[in-house]
This record gives sequence, C-alpha cells and structure tokens, in this order.
Amino acid sequence: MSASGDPIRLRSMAAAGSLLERGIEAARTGGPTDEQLAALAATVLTGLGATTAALAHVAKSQVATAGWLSAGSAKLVVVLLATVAVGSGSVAIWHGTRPGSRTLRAASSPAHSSVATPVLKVQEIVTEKIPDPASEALAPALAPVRDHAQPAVKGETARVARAAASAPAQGTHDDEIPLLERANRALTGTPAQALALADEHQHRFPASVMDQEREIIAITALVRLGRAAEARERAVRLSHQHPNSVYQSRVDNILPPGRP
Amino acid sequence: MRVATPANDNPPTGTGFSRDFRQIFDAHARFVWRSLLGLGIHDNDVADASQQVFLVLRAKLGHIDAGCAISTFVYGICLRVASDFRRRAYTRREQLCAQPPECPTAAPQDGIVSHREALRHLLAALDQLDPDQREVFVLYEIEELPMTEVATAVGCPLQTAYSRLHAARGKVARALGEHLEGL
Repeated sequence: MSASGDPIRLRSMAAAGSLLERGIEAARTGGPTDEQLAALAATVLTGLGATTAALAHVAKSQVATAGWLSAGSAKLVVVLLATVAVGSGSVAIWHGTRPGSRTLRAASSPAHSSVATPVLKVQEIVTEKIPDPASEALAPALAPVRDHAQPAVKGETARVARAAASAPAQGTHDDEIPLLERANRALTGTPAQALALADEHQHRFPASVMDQEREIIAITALVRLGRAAEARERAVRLSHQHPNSVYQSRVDNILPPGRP
Repeated sequence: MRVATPANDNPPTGTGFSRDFRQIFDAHARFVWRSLLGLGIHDNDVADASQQVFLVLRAKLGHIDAGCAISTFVYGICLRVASDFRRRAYTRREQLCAQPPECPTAAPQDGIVSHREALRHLLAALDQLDPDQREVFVLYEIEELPMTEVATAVGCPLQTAYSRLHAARGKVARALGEHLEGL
C-alpha cells in the first residue's frame, strides 16, 4: 500500500501488542460514535451553528442584496432563524438531543474569532436542511452566501446557475420571502400582526417548503400573545409533519414550560 | 485504511452543490474527527473543531477548481483548524493535559494495556512533537495517506515531509519504549 519511497508504516514495524502498535491502532479506530456523528451532521448540514447576533448581522447585510432566486430564500432562512431566535430570547445554537450533551458552540462566537482562515466569516455560512427521513419536504436550492470581501469566482456563478436550474418544482416563490420577513419583523412589538402574516403565508402558500420557518413564527407569536395552548397545538402538528426535525429543539425552547 | 462510509441511497434532492457537500461530509466526517484527535484536539473540543472544518470547507467549496482533490483540501483544513485550536487551548490550561500521563490509574485486567491507555500514551508522545512533525505523523502513520498527499496537505516539499516524518517516528517510538531499526 505504500507508494514507492514511503517507509513501512510504524504500526507494521512495531512489535505485535506493543504500546506503540496498540496506540496507533487505537488512534486509527477512534472517531465519533454514531451519535456524535449524527450531531455533527445536524449542525454542519443545516448551518444552524452560528450565533444569533452573527446571523442577524448577515441578515441585515444580505437581505437588501438583490439575490438569486434560490439563494435569496436561503439567506432569508438565515434571517428568519436568527431573528426569531433573538425575538424568543433563545440563542440560535443547536442543542444536542441528549440531556447534558454538549452544546456546539457557534463558529463565530468570540472563542473562535481568531480562527486563522479569513474565509471563515458568518457571511460564508450556508443554510441547508438535513434530508428529513420521514418527509420529502426539503429546502429549496441553496447556495452559499457571498463573502463581499472576495469577488465571486466563475465557479460560484456556475453553481448558482445550476442551483437555480435544478430547483425543485415547488421552490420558493418570490412573494413568500417578503411576507415571511414582514411576519418575522412583526414579532417584535406586534405579535398579533406577525400571526396574521404567518397565517396569510399559510393560506397563500399551503405547500411551502418554508413551512417550518413560518410555523416557528406563528408559534412564537402565539406564545407572545399568551396563547400557549394554541402554540403547543401548532407545535405538535408541526412535529407530526416534520418528525425528527432539526428545528425541534428550537420549538421546544420557544414554548413556555408546563403541560398543554 | 479509511473507514468505509455507507453509500448515499437517498434520491437526489436539492441542488448539485448541497448534494455534493452532503457526500463530502459523509465521506470525510469520521476522518476529520479522528484526525483532529490525533492532532491534539481535546475530547471536549473535537466536536467544535470538526464543525469548524466543515464550515470552512463549505465556505471555500465554491472557490475550488473542479479538478482539485477534495480530500487533500479537507486534510489541509483539518491541519489549520487543529493548529488554531491548539494554540488557543494553551490559554485554557485547566482543560488541557500538557504533560505526559502518569502510570495508568485504573489497573487493567491482567496487566494488559487497554485501548484507551495506549491511545493516551500515543497522544502524549505526539504532544511532545513539533506541530510540523505531528501533522506529518498523523496523516501518514494514522490516516495512512501516501507521503505525496501528506506533503500536499501540509504544504511542504516531499523531502521535507520525509524528514519530518523520520524525526517524528523516532521520537514517538522511543517515547513508547520501542527501539526500532533505522529510527
């Protein structure tokens, strides 16, 4: 297996059962448990591992950009998640599903701000939903948010074009985004309005792929309006429609404690 | 030997980009985690560090030529993220065991060194290496990449990689009580 010139591997040279051999074997077979791997996949593939503040910052800087069809919705998903989380008082950090499991810190939290590569900015974070095993409702075509410090390169343009071309038939309508954005903004101060806008979205876009984001707005609004029982009902319905959703813990955090 | 990953049987969904990234993740996640541990990332930090690797990867993915080997790219990012984490970890001494381990505390059955203890010894030996040497050692001896790939990932000439490897092998072998020919 060694290329010519490469020495024999150390573990083959070491005495069988020696500390050296066993140590290398242990390192080779180490790695994440299935659970840890799933947890990693959940954050990496949904892009939820970013601080609220950072996402909100992205939202402010990106929303105004005339965006690509599908990329625009991706950015808005980021916006909505960020601002909903801010509004609900919870931090947009993915929580492990096991009690006591470690909360994965945001990529752009202060402790990580000194990561050397300049490319690791919040602007680069992509949002994408995990393929939900129980549901075929998937996010519309997504593309990375542009880093304004680096001009787009040819590959990125090509990829965006590919993304737009292969967007699923029930992709995001242009009208959806402003509507959801308004609903989200209304959460602060006018939750009744937010709820009305969310319901309008549901009425106009019944098969929307952004239904989870809409429901989170609606549920948050209901909680703010003191209508906790309805909020819980809606949350339960949502979890039936999207079992094992990575948004589950977010919804759990929004709901007030106590039994329905 | 790379850990085999299950084939992705899901029907194609989403864009080519998101599909590709998912495949890249599936193909490399275990390697990334394992390598980070070998590169000295503490158990408590390896999830964070792994996440960072993939975030960086995803951010840069759009800027790589189609012909560039993704794997090499992933390795390079692992090394950089590990280096950053280790540097910052030195300011969090309470979490990092900077010294080699004492004799194993839990008495193993029949005096046989356990898997975990052997790993601890190896990691302690690796901690004593220069970072340059450690990187080459981990990629070659643990992940078993060919040296050409190791040199590319590390970003040094092949000969330099060989000499770093040689130095690392000698130190590690001696630290673990092995006296091998040519080391």
